[in-house]
Amino acid sequence: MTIRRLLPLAALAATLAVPASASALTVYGASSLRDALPSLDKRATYSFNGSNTLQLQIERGAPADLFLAASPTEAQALFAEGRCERPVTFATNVLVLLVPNANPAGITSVYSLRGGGKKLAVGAAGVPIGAYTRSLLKRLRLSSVLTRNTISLESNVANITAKVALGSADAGFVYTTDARSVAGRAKAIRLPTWAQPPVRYQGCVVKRSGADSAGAAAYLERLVSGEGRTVLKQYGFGLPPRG
Amino acid sequence: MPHGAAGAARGGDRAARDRREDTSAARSLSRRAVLAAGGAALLASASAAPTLAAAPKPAPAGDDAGFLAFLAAAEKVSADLYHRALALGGAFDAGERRRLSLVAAGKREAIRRVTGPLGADAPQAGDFGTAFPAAATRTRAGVLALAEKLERLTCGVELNGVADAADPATRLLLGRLLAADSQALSTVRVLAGKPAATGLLAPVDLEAAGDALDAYLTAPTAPAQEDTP
Repeated sequence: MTIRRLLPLAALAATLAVPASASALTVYGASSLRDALPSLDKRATYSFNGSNTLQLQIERGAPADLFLAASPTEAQALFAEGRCERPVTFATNVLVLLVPNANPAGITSVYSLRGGGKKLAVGAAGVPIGAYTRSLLKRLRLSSVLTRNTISLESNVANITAKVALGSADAGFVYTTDARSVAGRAKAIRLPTWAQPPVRYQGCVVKRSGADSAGAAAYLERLVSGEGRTVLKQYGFGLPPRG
Repeated sequence: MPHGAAGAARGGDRAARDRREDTSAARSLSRRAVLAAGGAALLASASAAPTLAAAPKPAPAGDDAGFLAFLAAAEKVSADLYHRALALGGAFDAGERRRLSLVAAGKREAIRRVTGPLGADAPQAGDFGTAFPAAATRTRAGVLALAEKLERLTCGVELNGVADAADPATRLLLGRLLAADSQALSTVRVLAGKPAATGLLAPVDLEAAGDALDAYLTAPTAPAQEDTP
């Protein structure tokens, strides 16, 4: 009798417990990680966008457990605000100039853009790919290409990649990993090594009430482990020295 | 000799002696004046030295940073090459090694001077590695030929920067680096048995210079770039 009475309660308790224990970790990741991260862990819930947009969402209380950004700026800002643990560098990347396979504008090098009159897809200044692009152009003394050509400013690198692959833009500055994702539809033109800005990805465990900090820390640990490094390398990322 | 004549002769001697003394005094005066002027000039240059050392801080404007970023990479490549040269057993005698050490030290100083104004955008240790063709670093002749090529490239970009940089203090810095690197160029030429003078150097634009420099650069932690179509 007592057991019979307890059974529905036990069932209710189990029902309530299931969503809590099975609720997926929420990972906010830079757009350029959109292929690699699900390959490492399919169970997590992902939200991909420009790192600066994700930073802003976390600052406004978005339910992120882990933040993985395409530059140190955003994660370091959240750390300084006390919104995440100390950031960790987990990957590197390089920029390339992406052109559609047909290459109707006949672009053969970044210096081809000096002439002007082309349609360029470029990251907005606040998003990491936009900041890296401006840094690269400044080093090459080619900042003028941003005024001599028709520019569409994009909020994340996935949009730039799509625009070039679909032929809506004559060229765009993306990471080499994004170029791999559209191989067959677009071609990558290498950019001078000496002018490449250092592209470093940093991630941190988000500090907020109700966050799955343990799950986020375990994910981040996995990402910097041999397993995570293998997956990142497979998707074309560079790896920082083991630290 | 009659007295009168002797007296006249003595008088003439005295006059001549007086003239010599006057001339000598004048010469000594002029020497003193020259020495004094030299001393004043030395003093002036000594007092000017702190002014030079305290030259305005470069604040790269527009795309000026491009010259400094290129030089940060180029001077690192040269510094690494001189270290390889110094490690070549028996290729250089003690005097030559001293001269190469001085040039290498100058390269390290140049890196410090160009990375400062770049601030957070400066290349960090580990961003670049260097890779030289084996043949170029195996022999004295190979090292010196590559060193001359790199110094010419560096001087050419500095010359370009002196003409084109927008910020006056950045132009001044590039001019000083050009003076130091021209000296390095002369040193490697002399070590190679060539005349020190090279004739008038030509400016080199960053596109050509970057292509040449990239042949010796690696990015150890960065992924490989996709192939050029």
